[in-house]
Amino acid sequence: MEHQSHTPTHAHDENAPHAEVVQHYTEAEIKHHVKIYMGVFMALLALTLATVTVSYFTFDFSTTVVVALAIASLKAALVAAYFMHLMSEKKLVYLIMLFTVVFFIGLMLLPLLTQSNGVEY
Amino acid sequence: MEIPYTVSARKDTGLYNGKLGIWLFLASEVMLFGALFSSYILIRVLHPGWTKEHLNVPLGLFNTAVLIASSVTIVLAWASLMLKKYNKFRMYLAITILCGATFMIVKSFEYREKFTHGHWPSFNNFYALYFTLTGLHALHVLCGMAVMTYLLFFGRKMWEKQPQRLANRIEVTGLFWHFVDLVWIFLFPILYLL
Amino acid sequence: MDHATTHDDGHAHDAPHHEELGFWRKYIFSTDHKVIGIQYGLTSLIFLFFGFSLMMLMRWQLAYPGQPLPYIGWMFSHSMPGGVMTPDFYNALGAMHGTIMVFLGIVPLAFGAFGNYVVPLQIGAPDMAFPKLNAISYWAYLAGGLIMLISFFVPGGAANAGWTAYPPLSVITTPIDPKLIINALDSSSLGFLKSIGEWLHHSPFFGGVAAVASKCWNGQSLWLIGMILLITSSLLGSVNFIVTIIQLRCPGMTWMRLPFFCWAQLVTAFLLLLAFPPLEAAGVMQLMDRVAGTSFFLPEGLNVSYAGANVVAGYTRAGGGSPLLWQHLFWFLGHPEVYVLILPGLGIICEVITNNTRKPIWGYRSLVYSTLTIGFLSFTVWAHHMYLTGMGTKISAFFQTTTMMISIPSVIILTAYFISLWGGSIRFTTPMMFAMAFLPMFGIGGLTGLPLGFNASDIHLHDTYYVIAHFHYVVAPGTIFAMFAGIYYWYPKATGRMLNEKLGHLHFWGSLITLNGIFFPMFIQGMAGVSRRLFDGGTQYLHAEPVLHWNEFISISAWGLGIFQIPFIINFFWSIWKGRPVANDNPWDATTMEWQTPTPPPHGNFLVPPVVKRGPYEYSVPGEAKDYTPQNQ
Repeated sequence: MEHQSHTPTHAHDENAPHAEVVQHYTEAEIKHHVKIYMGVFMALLALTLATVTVSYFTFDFSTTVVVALAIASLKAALVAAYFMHLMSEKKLVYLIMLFTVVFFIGLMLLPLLTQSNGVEY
Repeated sequence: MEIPYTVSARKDTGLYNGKLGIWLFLASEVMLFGALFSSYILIRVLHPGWTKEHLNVPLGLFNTAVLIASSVTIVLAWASLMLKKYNKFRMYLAITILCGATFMIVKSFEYREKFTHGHWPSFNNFYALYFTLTGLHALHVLCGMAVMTYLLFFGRKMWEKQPQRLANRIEVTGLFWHFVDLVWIFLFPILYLL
Repeated sequence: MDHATTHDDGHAHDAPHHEELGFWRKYIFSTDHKVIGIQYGLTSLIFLFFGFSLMMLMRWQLAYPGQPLPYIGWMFSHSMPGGVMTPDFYNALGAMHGTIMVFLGIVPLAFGAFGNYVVPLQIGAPDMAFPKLNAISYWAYLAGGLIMLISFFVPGGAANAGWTAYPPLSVITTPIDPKLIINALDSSSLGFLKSIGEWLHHSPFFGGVAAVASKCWNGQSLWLIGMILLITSSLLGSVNFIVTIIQLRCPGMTWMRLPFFCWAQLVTAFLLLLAFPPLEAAGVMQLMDRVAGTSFFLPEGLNVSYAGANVVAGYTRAGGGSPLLWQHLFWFLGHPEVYVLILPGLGIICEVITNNTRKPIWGYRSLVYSTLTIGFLSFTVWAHHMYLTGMGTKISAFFQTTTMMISIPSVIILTAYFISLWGGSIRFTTPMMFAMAFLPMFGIGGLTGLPLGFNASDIHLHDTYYVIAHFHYVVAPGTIFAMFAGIYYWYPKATGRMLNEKLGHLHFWGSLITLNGIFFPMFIQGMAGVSRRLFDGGTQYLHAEPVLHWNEFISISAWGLGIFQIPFIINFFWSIWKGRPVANDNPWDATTMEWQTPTPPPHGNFLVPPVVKRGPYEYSVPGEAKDYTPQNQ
């Protein structure tokens, strides 16, 4: 999904004040993107139905949680990767979000682990 | 005095300022909702007296579909702008706003139903978390709708003078909107199904 | 290429710039980072002075428990009947001292003031990336701060559950019945408001709003609302800083040519960005517990009663919540927060040391990598504030390990600064005095953190005066000295005048001596087992008796510290008009970019677009005519 036409519209000297880039997409590229968006949309709807369907099966609690979160994560990944263009986004953004997710997981797990009495539902 | 890279991207990062700014803001939002999710986990898993209440799953499902659809329409709106089709852009943007409004209407219906049964946030911790999580989320939906409405009605001048800047603003708004959708994708199973 | 020593063509470059702004847009609602930086600076200094005054009041009670406050006791007749401090007021002073110093004082000064003013100049940018957002950040900060100040005057007084606001105490303190407020109005000169109040009370919509609002009209709730505003301000500010530093570096300003001050601010901004939101969420949750009757932090079966409790009777809640949840969310911010407090200071110290030793800072790369490591690790250590909450040994060992790990980069940074002094041509200017004193003082603070970081020794030291001494050493002769160094160093840049050196040295020596007089004895008291937050200073405990005599000594040192700030305050204001004007744009002969533009800088900062050609600390380069080579040369 790389955009081929990331060519700078002005040729600039490295040391010039603003080495700026204006993005232009061709019509064909946009149409290609739109096809992908519609595909992802269908996938998201299907996964949503899957989430609800799965909830009617009775597993034990941890399996239920894992399955529900797995499906939700997959949907979230699709939204992030394709709608938010994270797949083709610059490394910087990707790194920032990666660190954020690491801290997010820490915030989920560590407080839980500090409760030593174990889990009771 | 002009701030560089407000419209066009800086070469080594490949980003314009607003785009980096919104991603950073979204990172902080991940931590904000993360704290609430962490609270949910801690309270539910470790404390006695947790009651799983029943929410209206069909309505929740409908709302999920509405938000996902609105995520598609906002990105189609951006694509239309890139293809220089201003009217199509406005159509898709309007649909996105309408989807947001639909979501809010369904949510207010759900809230009212709970309130009339005396299920306020103070009733038990499930409702406390439910109202806080969905309330904060709804606040974000409203803010997104407000920004989109502004751009829908006042975008023309910017389109004529600085089209790339408008496209950037739509892209940034879209990123925020996708995040709002993303949060709901997690909220729905956690609150309605688990 | 040696731009402007001429100031008059400051606006020649600004051809595309707009018309002259009026007074309000130029000085009050400005979007110029320099004006906003000064706004942050002045506001935070006032808050620091206020928070400091609260402490001086507390120290009277600790030195002479139960004695009426002489001369000025009548000013506090409401909270100190007969001039004698009440426990509730003491706790309010303590809670607000901490809150004000940390959130309204140091962070806005270190990050908001110095960051805003210096960073765009140092990276060669015309302003911050989002100037309007910058202004909003400042005004949100001011609003939050004012709300905190107002809380002193509402029924029940200011928040008094500690700056850490632990529930259940913070949830159950002083919720006020709205009818009490309306009745109170009747007996005051504002009686006419009573009829408005009654009308509001009966209207369904406004009555609901008024009911919620009146539930917020007490110290702790206003504290929470103020915090939410402050956190929002910080979040917006941190987005601004990160985008600015990444995107607006001028040509030639590569990452490894960035002044360390900017690296420090960048990591600080990331800490604020990712660590503050959980506290914002927790603040909303605690506010809901106080106002909406939820039980996020209230366990089941809570029994509330204490003498004089200003609590609505018949306390029933759903329960099922977790007080520990608040602690986790608070300290998730709380720990990165202390690195937010120190990192900008470390950045300032680097600038001042290298400038006043006339040689490049030793170990630039180690400084950068250590700071990045600290930034990351600071998110993994927070529960070392919670060792005594009953967590299991494995997880306790985890936090102990990460805590020990994070001490390593901190030591590397301090060592680099010590080594930087070796072989330098030291100029004993006032900023350099503060910077040099910072090193051993911060060293003491840091080293005394180690017994607290080990879970075993922390059992003995937790919540004692040892903790107070530890963190005050890092913050007071640590960070605040770095702030003073920064003020003495950059004051000429902002005003075009130098601060008086004699007054500066007086300020320095007086502060250094009295600070040690305050906090060193506290280690002794802490190790003897004197708990913190004791309204009577420990007199109720027999085991504390041998060390209580230090209380008077500490208090006198504290008032002495207050007196030695007077030369600084006089110096600060007097020098604006009467200070020695700078000889040129670069009075310190510094290499970094903020000194390569007019002093003070014009709107837009640089007369010609800056281009950077070398590293930030090229002092005493062999073969060069001068002992410093600016970055753009």
